[in-house]
Amino acid sequence: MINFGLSDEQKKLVEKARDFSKNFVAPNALKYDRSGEFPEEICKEAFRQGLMNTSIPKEYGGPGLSVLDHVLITEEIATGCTGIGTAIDSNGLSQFPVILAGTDEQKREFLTPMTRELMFSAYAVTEPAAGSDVNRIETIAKRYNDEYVINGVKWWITNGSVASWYFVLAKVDGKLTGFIVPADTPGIIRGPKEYNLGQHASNTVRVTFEDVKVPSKYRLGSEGDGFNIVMKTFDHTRPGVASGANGITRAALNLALEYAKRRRTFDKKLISNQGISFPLAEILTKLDAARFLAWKAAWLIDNGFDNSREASQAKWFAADVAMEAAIKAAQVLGGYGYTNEMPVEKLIRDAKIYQIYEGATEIQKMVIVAKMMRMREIAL
Amino acid sequence: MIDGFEKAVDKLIDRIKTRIYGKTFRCPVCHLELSFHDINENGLVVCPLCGIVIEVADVFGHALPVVHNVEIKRYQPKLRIHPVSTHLPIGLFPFSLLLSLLLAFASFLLPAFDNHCVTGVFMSYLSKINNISQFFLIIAVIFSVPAFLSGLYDWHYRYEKRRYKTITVKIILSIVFFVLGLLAFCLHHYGLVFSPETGLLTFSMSNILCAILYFILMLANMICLATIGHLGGLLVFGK
Repeated sequence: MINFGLSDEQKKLVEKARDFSKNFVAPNALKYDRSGEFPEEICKEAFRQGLMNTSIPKEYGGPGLSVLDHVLITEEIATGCTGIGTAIDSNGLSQFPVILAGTDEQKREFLTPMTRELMFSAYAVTEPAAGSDVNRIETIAKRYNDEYVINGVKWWITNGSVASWYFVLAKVDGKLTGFIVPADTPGIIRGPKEYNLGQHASNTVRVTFEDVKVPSKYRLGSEGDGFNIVMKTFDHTRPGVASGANGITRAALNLALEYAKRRRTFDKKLISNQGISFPLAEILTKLDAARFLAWKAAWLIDNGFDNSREASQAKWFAADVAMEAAIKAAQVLGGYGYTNEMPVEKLIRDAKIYQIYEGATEIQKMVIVAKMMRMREIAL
Repeated sequence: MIDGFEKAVDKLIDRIKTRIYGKTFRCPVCHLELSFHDINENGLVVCPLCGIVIEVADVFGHALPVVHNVEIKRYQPKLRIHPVSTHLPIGLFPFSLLLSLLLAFASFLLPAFDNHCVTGVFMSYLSKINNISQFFLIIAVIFSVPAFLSGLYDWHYRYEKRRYKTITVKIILSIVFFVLGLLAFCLHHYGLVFSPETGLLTFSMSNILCAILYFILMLANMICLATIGHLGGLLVFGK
């Protein structure tokens, strides 16, 4: 049986996230995009409204929302601004390794405080020489009695300069291993904010680890579990990333549609031209497809099924649709789509990263191919 | 520390702006910040700076201005009385305040250098400085009236009495400037702040209170004047 409807709780959640996005996120999107400032005030409001750290289980003080609930919230916030959305949402990426592989003690020490006051955490995996190919990371952790000493450079770490702790992936004797590293540990150097093409409100920095001593009790799982933890994390977070891209598509479509309905050319409304209206119809259809992929990937993982393929499909497809939607919206707005006084050019800049972070589009396709290769035939 | 102070001031200005203007958007052509309150009953707003006619849609919290037309032939006042007449209040009032501050500092510092030869020479100029400060103040206040009236005239013809929030703020602040300026002048003129003979502060309880009130009025007026000038500049030159 198939049901595309949302429960009453989910509808309320969507309404709440939409109100928050319309009243706090969207009106401030241009301001933070220009200043590059970290949107702490907006994060405070998101935290106050219970829209942050939604995946922390109830027993550790969080709301314990499902991945699908998270997907619904993310799309609403991302429709307002994905830069601010990333600042609000990226705690989840570093929390999932702890939720999935942490001990009860680790969860109480690192997750519970995040439900009591506004705190940030960061996922420190990417390195200058290792992005999509996680196995190439060069950060090393050497064990000395009851502690590890970590050395390495992590790069493009979202929320890196505001985080209270990091999830760090390092190699222990060549085996990928995950650690929780408190940000006040001596030897951690946070770099300046990187000014990327888009998502300016998101804080992205370099984090250097120089002889950082971490007690072995902060290791996640066993030595060598790191790769599995990272991949399992992506299964939980990629539907959310896809819904972030869907937020961009929605924003682009809303703006292009409203503009085309109002602007007049050749003595008629812009929308009367099929050259304008048909691409919008195509984008709406693709948005629905992208959304259903994201929902399905979320539903699968929530119900205990493997969703690696669906999560990759959702992330890749939604990212491409977002990019296409942003560019088409700019085309509808003409010159006004190219000026930075209007909200559309920002969507193009913001959309690009969805084809890159949390596994580039090519990586998603590799995952899908790997799954496809194991199929006897393509079936339901 | 300066950075922190600047941030706090920016935050305060932001709050005041939000309270007065509500939700804002920028004109896509001249980048002037306009308020959603400026939109008329037909859902349109004419940019006071560049004259484009915009329809503004609120799309999921994003302001989307759609340009429909341009108001090309706008009324241009021939004598440009408003910009000319604003120069006197804007030019003279800050000097009046600065000279008053100089007198206040002199009142505290000069007794410490009682026997110094320079002090004597300086003392002889203080009552003149007092008079100049008073003169600048009254000229600034008097000339704020033609500035105000010519501004109203411009609004009436050039901006066709459209209710722009910026112009409303300018009108209110101009009235505040006139009233506060007149009060400050009265305090100054009747010798309640500085002694007309010596030009120095008189240290009696009532005079100290009057002096505090005087400087509060002057500083408040300075803020009013700076804001009126800044907003006027925005309406003429844009961002």
